Amino acid sequence: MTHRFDRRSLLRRGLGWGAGALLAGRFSQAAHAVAAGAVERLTHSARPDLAVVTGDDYAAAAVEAVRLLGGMAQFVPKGARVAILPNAQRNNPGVYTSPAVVRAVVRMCRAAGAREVNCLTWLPEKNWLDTGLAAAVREEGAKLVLVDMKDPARFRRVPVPRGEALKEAAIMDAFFDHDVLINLPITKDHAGNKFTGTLKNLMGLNSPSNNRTFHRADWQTNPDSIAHLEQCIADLNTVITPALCLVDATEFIITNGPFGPGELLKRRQVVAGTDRVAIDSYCCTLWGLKPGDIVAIQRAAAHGLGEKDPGRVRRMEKFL
Amino acid sequence: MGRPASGAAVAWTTALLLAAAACSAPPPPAPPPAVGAARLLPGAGTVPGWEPADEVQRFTGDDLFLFIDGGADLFLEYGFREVAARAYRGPGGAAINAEIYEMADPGAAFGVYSVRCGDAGDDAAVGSAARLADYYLTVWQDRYVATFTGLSETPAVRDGLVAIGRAVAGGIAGRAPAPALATALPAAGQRPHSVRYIRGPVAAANIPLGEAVLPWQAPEAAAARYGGTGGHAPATEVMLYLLAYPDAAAAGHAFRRMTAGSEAAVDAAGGLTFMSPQKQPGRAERRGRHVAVAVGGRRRGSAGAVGESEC
Repeated sequence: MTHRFDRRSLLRRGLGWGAGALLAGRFSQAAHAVAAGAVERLTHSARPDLAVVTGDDYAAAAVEAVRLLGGMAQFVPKGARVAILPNAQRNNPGVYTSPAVVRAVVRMCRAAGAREVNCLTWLPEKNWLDTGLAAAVREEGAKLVLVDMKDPARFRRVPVPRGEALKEAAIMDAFFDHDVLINLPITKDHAGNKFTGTLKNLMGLNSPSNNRTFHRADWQTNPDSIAHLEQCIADLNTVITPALCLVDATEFIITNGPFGPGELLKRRQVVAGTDRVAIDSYCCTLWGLKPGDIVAIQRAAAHGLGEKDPGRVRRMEKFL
Repeated sequence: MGRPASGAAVAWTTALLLAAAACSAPPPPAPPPAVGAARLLPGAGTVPGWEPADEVQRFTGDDLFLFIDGGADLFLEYGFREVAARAYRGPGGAAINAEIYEMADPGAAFGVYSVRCGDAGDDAAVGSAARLADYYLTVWQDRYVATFTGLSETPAVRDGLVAIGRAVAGGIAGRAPAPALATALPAAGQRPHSVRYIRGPVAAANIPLGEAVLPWQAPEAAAARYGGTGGHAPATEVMLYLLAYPDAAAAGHAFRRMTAGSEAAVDAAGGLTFMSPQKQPGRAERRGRHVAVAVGGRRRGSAGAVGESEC
């Protein structure tokens, strides 16, 4: 059976469910359709849940990681409109997604037959120019879609039915024009949370003003504020389901996150998969953190977003 | 009836509380008026070999989130006024990012400096305090904390970091001392570069074993690491915290609230023994408006710990 994207029918169904259901349904359907096929084939070909590739050529590592998962065609159907979400927080070393990884992903999407690949952001263009990510995106034939963060009309209000702390998100409007989301975070330290990876990166699709609500009003004195923030991150992830996550774990900061400068760790790894909980649980161990200490991972697991027990995750590692 | 108190734990906390007496000294004189962070950024022709490469970026108040989204909380917690940032180009096209944060007061700037420096780097002769790590320099002077980040790791870039840092520090009129609470921490046994000055939960959550003092909700705290063997197995390190409340009543209230915690117990010396979220033993003792907290010290494979046994 083939899983064919029909954005119009999904949109119609989505409108009947409400915007939150649309968002979750549309992307999770797309992802689950692919995932279901992938799981089926996995039993025959022993494909991993998590692919970890280490090497000095970061583009090659990204390509190999996706290959181990079955290839980009598993995640990007022909004719799909693909949204990619790298991190371009600052051009300090170890703070932004490697342009080499982004280039590789855009190339793989195009090779898989994507109709278009768009990099979505509400960050200023300067961040993308300074990091070299604007050049990487544009030179590979993708488009950098700059969303005015201060224009509320560029964000769509989305209910979060399963949200325990976050009841409504504000997702950038451009996101809804796409069939597939590929999440491209860099893993690194984060002030307060200690860790950022696939789960937190999705805040890059949510409006900055809504992201600010992830903080309690009394966050400067309330010790529970960080847990509230982490719960909001997990809640946001219940309405956005990437088809694929590739984490840049090549060179990243392990102090003074998320914008640095900080102590750099060079693990030279690209980590790929669809299970955000499993990926983040692995990535945080790269610099000695424990998944059990990262609240967002625990809350996302409680939402049923993934597997936090590494013993139940099939990880394949390869050195180039 | 209370549990027997550990000699080591009592010694640590008592030493801290005696040191806290120094905090009753009158506050330092008010710092000079702020000049604005942007005015401190070197202009063209100021630093030999290094020239501005773009316009000055400036953000004030809550707009800090626009500049360092996800990282603004730490600065806002201490009291943030404005940041000015600019890129510089040097020999062979090398690049350095300069960011100067103007904080509400010198203590706030020192706090950010202490947390952001962490253990990394070597002391550098720039400003009131500075730390040079592999590719970046962090400087504190008066109400300003600045970071200078090289986008490559070369000797020329490291020289440039210091040169630009000195140019910035030279433009700052004041030279306020570090907060009294931070300097009150006993020097004996203190690990180098381990002092942290804290004004809220974000900073506390970013230092070793900081979760242990989050529930105390102290508006001001200083911390440092003691003991340990260094090298590969710092087996018996202890983190000491000196918490300060506005008055003795507030400290007493916090102490009683913590005493009511399910994992806390009052020992025979009147101190509070507890287990931290990371399962490290701790002990706290109050005197006046101060509370001293010692956390850690568990040896690998033994029960030796600050709240449990003699060292």
